[in-house]
Amino acid sequence: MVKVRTSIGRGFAACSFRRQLTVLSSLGLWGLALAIALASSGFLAWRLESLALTLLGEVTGQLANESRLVFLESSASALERAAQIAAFPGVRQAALLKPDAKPWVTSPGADPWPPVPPAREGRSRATLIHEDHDGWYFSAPVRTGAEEVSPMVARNETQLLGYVVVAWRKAPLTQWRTWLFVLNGSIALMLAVGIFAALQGFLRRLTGPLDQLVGVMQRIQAGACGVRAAIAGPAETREIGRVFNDLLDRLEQHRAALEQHRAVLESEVVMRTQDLSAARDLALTADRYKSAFLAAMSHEMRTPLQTIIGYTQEGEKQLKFLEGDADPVILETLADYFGIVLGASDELLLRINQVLELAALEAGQRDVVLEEVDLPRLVDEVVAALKLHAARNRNRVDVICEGERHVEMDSDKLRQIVRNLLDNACKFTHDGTVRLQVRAGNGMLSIEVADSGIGIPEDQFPLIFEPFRQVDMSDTRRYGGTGLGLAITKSVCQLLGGTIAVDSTPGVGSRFWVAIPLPVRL
Amino acid sequence: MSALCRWRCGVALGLAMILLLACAVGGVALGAPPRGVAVLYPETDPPYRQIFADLLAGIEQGLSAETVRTRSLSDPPDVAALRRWLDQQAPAVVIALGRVPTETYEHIGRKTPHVVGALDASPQTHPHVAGVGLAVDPVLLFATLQQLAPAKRRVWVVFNPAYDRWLIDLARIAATARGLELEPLEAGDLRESAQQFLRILKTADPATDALWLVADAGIIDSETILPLVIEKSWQRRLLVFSNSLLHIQRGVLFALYPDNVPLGRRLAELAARALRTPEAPARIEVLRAVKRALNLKIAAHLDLTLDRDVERQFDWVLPVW
Repeated sequence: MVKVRTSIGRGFAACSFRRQLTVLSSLGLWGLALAIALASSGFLAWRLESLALTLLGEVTGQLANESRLVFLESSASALERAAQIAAFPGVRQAALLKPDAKPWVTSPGADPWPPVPPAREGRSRATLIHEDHDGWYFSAPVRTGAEEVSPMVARNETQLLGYVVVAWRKAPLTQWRTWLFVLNGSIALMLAVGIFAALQGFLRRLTGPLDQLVGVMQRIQAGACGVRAAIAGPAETREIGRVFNDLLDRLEQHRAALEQHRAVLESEVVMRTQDLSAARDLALTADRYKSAFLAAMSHEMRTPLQTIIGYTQEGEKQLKFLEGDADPVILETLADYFGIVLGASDELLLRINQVLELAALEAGQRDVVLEEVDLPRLVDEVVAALKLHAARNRNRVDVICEGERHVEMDSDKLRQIVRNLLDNACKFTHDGTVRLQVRAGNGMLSIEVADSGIGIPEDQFPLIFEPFRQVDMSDTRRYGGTGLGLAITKSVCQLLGGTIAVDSTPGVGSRFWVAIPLPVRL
Repeated sequence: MSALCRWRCGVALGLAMILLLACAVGGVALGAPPRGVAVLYPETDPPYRQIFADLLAGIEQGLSAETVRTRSLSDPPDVAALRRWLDQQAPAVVIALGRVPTETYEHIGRKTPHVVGALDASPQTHPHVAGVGLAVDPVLLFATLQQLAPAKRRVWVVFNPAYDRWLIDLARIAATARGLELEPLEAGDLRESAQQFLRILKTADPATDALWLVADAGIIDSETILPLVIEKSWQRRLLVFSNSLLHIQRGVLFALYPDNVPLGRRLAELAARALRTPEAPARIEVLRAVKRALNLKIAAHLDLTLDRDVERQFDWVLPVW
């Protein structure tokens, strides 16, 4: 039952606004009509009955008054009087009772009479003594004596002569009651129908614009464009339509702006893509040019430089053949000159090689060649090569080599890493200590170079691994070099699958360490 | 005047003053002597108000030499207020007009003699009381009857012996004196009176008989017996007369009714007599101060020939139409 009621309630709530209003108003109107009919007819019937009882009492009293003489005459006239009263409209039967309330005469065919109560005070006050399905029984005493007592009369004796009992029919009142109910019901029904029709028209006017608005929404939902709601109906509905239309206008404006923006973006993307393609092509071309240039440089610069170095070395050798023949001072001076030329040539060759190396690394032209490397030996060779450089700045180089002695590694690139790190440490350390620690084991090759040099500010850490960058890039920098050493070292580490990191405190020293997982994966 | 004479005069004057003072003190101590006449009358609505106003006027005319104080009584009356008023006025005689003042004054039980008026009192109901009842003197009634219908020889009357035997006794004397035969029939209530009237209306001879209706509501009421009597008498052409003004309108030939100003004067005479001789015997007397009313329609129905002089002798004449 509850489920049925709930489902009915949900179904009703899902109905349209107009249908809900129609159902509710219909129920209310029919209920109101029924209630009005019942209430008015009930009230009127009650009022009619009370008035009828009062009237019947009065008429009964009047009949009793008019029967006074009969009580002073014979039974024959009393019988005739009872018949006359019974013939009165609405009277079913009548009886005349003696003063002791015992029956005296009754109208023909009268049923047994109910007991009559004692007479009340007053001259002819009729009393309802009994009521059954068919009628009311009124009893009125019949008295003698004046209604209005004269102030000049000493004796006003009244005498009870008997009673007149009249049985009144209920049928006329019942017919009136039915007629009243039918009349009231009909009037209420007609009023309800009229109000319902007017309400329907009003609802149609009220909900029509809403239905139209819903239709417009559905068309828009289906994809229609340029559709607008009609501004009609009550103020709220007109306001809804205005707001809806305004919303649609704004949506279409936004949509047009978006379309325009999208078109602009697409054109810009095309243009940028074209620019990027051109830039990429240009970069590739430039890279190719750079590689070609570097290759050319490799050949064109190193060839004359090798020639210079070769002839300088040859010249230096020739000087030895001149010992004893030439002035020793001149020879010594020439030997110094040759030495300077050779040193500068070596420096120049080194830097050219670094530039070429970096270019080759960035171009991916370097391959890793693995071989078994004797770590202590490699370290010793590098340290020995830089011994002169270290001594130049009066630095002490400590070497610690631990762990596995042989590892599978590209020896040239490992040598390059160690040499660059030691070279840097020796360059930026004066009268200090440079410590090299190499350890192989547990699947890792670690190389750590620590110095007590000038150190690096922390904000410069990301920059020192970039090409051509040094901490001091001013025109009056103290330390020479291309600034490619750490960039090449980082590239080589990455080529071998490892990483490089730095930790430094300005004025205290720096520490670089390299970790290369073993075995190296190509 | 000598000194002795002056002394004697002074003593006499002082004694006189002492005597006067003693009399005054004694008067206060013994109570003021009764004085004047008090009239009690009921508060009524028209038409009774005019009746009592006329009665008061007649009383004041008859007691012009006396102090007359009047007081109206409501129904029910304020007995305590009446007692205080009577104590203050201390009347020598009280005239009670109507039912409420008479019953109230008799209920109070004062010894002061009182005169009853404007009440259907009789010597049987109010023995040893002075006053005038509403029963018209039969002499006047019979005289009027013989004036209008000289052929009538017998008068029927229904009466209640408990109240009106004295009146019938008077009527019998008056009838004998007038050469009429009185046929009184007794009735204790309306049922008996109805039977008696039906009997009269059957047996009476309209040519020689007449029916006298006494003013007794216990014998003839205006709603039952009177319509019966009027209807039957009209049918039988029986002459009916009465001493009630109301009956003349309902269909009796003539009626005698109180003339209130002379009646008031008569009550004043009775009060003055009670002032003079309080110990004299008192009795309710018949009404002699009357006016006469004539119904010409009934007279025409009874084929009575009345000339203008006769009609002018009546105070109120109902025309034929």
